[in-house]
Amino acid sequence: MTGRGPDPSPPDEDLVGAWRRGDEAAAAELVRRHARAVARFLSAAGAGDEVEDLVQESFYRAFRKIEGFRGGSSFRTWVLAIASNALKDLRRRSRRRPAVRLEDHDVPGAADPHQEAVGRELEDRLAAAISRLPPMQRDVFLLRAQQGLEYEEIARALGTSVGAARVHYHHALHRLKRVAEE
Amino acid sequence: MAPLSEQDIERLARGLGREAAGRLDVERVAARVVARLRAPAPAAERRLSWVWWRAPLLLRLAAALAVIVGGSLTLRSAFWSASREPAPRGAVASVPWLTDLSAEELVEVFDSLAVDAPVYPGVAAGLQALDETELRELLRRLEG
Repeated sequence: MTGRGPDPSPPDEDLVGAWRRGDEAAAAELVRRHARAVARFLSAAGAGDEVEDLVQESFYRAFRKIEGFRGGSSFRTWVLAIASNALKDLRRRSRRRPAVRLEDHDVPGAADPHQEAVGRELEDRLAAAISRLPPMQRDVFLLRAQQGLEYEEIARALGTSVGAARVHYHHALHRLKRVAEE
Repeated sequence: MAPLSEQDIERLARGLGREAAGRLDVERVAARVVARLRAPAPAAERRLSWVWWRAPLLLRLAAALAVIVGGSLTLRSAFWSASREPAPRGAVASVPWLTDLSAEELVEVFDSLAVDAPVYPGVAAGLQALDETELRELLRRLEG
């Protein structure tokens, strides 16, 4: 067998380039790769029942404005920043407090029902507290703690400095710790 | 409840949103995104696009506006500097139409020169709060 099929996992940059040339399949593949991460981010940020619509809106905006993606951060980070803006726009329009679905928060690996209940309560309080953080603190915290990004990439994606991103993160962490201990 | 460490908070945060992500129908989202991309852009986006492509025109308009505003400010500051140059004693008297002005007319003159009241000692209010004597004193000070 000498024939080689198409690369099964081209890097994101190649898919972005393909979409710039109008390849819809490339856009769909980028959605498949990153939609769940964007959904996790939006859910933790308090998107509630709007998660799926906001994921869709985030990718739609990203592809429509693909010329604005210059590769300073990863495609996923760029879409996460767009998702944060989409969530802000939704809240501005609806003028309501974030709807946190408490049943959304699962408890990793808790066999003991009591422990599970305690863990779930903690997660619920944490999720509610995260959704009440100032948007920049919330975004920095989630991009770092949940998505595992480095400060440099977070700063590039959110248009801030590395030092400011660190400060936002620590403020968020202290505030969440205080809320969790109340 | 036992106190939580920062590591506990971070660990809990990593788990948030897993169920929402698990429920997401990724194929449906991908299909909807592609369908929206195929459809013509909404009117609001087209308007934005029009604005973008008319950017050179907008830039020319902005430049013209900047020249007009900048020129006006320069003229005004030149006029203002001239009005602050030391005048010979009795300058007010040598411009009789100024001494003949009523308090209201003096306020108008000061307004046109963008003069504020604080130069007059002990008065914190605006020009409207000054009486005729105070306005003439202010005028005398401005005349040098």
